[in-house]
Amino acid sequence: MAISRKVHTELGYYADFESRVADIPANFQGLGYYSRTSIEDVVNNFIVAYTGDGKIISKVPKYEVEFWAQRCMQEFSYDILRSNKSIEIELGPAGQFPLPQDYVNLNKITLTTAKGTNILLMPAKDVTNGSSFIQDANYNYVFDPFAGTNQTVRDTEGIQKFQAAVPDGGTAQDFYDNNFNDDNFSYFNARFGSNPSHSNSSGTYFIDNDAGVVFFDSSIERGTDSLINFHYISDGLADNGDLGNVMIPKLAEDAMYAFIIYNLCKVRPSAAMAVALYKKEASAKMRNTKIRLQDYDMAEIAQVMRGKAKWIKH
Amino acid sequence: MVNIDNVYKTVLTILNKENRGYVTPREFNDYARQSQLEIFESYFSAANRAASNESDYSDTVRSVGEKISYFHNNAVMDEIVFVDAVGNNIGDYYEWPLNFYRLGSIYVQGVFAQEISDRDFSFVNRAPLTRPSISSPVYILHEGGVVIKPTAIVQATIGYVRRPNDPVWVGTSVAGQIIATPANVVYSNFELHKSEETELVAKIVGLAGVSIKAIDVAQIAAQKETQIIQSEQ
Repeated sequence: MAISRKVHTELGYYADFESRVADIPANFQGLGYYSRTSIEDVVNNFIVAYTGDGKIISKVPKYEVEFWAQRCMQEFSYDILRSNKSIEIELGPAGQFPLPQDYVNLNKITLTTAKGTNILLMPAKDVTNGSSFIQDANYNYVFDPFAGTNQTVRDTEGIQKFQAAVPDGGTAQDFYDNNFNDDNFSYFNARFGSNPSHSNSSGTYFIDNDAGVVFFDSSIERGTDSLINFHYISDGLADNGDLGNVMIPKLAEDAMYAFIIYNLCKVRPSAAMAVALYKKEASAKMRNTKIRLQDYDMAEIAQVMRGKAKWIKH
Repeated sequence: MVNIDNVYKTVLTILNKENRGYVTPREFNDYARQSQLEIFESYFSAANRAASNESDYSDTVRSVGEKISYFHNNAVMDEIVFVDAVGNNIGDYYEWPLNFYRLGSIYVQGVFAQEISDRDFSFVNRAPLTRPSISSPVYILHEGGVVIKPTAIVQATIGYVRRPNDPVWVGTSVAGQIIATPANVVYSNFELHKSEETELVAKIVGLAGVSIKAIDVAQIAAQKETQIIQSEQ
């Protein structure tokens, strides 16, 4: 019981950062590893502490505990864990890129400016990319003679028009300047009564979830100067082939135990009397975890609130 | 461990008291093996029925566990291909050790493997959240061994209870006295806990009583055995 829970010596822990290759531990856990714990540890701890003779659950298959631990990881990833996943991409000439393999949902897409700050891009809500059937000269569908299915193309005419170059070939701002009084121009909407969600010169994107591709409109520059940051959430289980590699913040560990015990009791008539109690506990601990992970900082709030007397302008 | 010579001589003393008969070493060895196995097997059901408490010496579950622990073994099993009775090859198969009696736990690279039925495996193996992995292995009981998944595993450690060695009394008669010869290579004491000596005597006397058609002896032995078992609970 007197063994340190720190895995590495101080010398070994900082070796990777300081490029002292010879001192890097073979099992180096990564910088900041102490803030998280693995699902494997959680499952083993749970079986020791929550199951056994005389406890509410006397016997449970390990794979069932692992199932609920992973379900918990997924739900927490969607609801309360920090969104740490992001990729930086140089936008190519096609103005599109595929979704990451472990993508579950979008957090935000930003465009990196020359100064390194990020501009939030807005989604194009009015764009679709349904199946585009190939048609012959008589407008009849073209079929695959072997599979007997319709032949389709991935990018519909609609999405191609969305991505088409702006008529004057300039930037979004140039385009606005040249077209702001054109009532038939939809990009910024009409001059009068414009829709604020369209009044955005940063450019827009469209995610085709079916095809797994993100499309950008023509107002966003292509090439090495155009850095897109794609922030997204996963389910935290991309590496669940080895639960030792699936990590959860220690701030959420207790909520995970509560989630597992509640769900195991929920499906066991013998533990029915405890379900209500565990349901409340799981809900309360999940809420607490959410508050913990929000990182509310009074100094930051105070700094923001100092501007409260300013007029809010749009 | 129970001294087999003590048991044999006690049995002979009881049986010979009224010149009822004589149990030869060969008969005794048969009765001894039978009695030892009966007592040994009874541990596993006794552990299930017995009450438990926090005392050091009177916790029946703990006492039974201690008796079983005399036979607890670990062994490393390597993957082999098992050919069943109709010639099918079974992969991911691990054969029980030769002295295997009852399964405790199976570990793969130090990770506990979960037992699973064939039916449940068919579901578990198709679900990404429950599919067996190196860090979450499962095993299915099979004829003469187990099938361990996932396939990437090639070696496992088994914790098991081995079968007790057969007790064998070997001796000779010198000047009318029966003398044991423990130096003989086949001579073997009972492997059960020392506390089982009285029950072993009662069981062997009972079996011998049936053999020599002394029903009263068999009945008394049976009563004595019941009394011993009750006092242990």
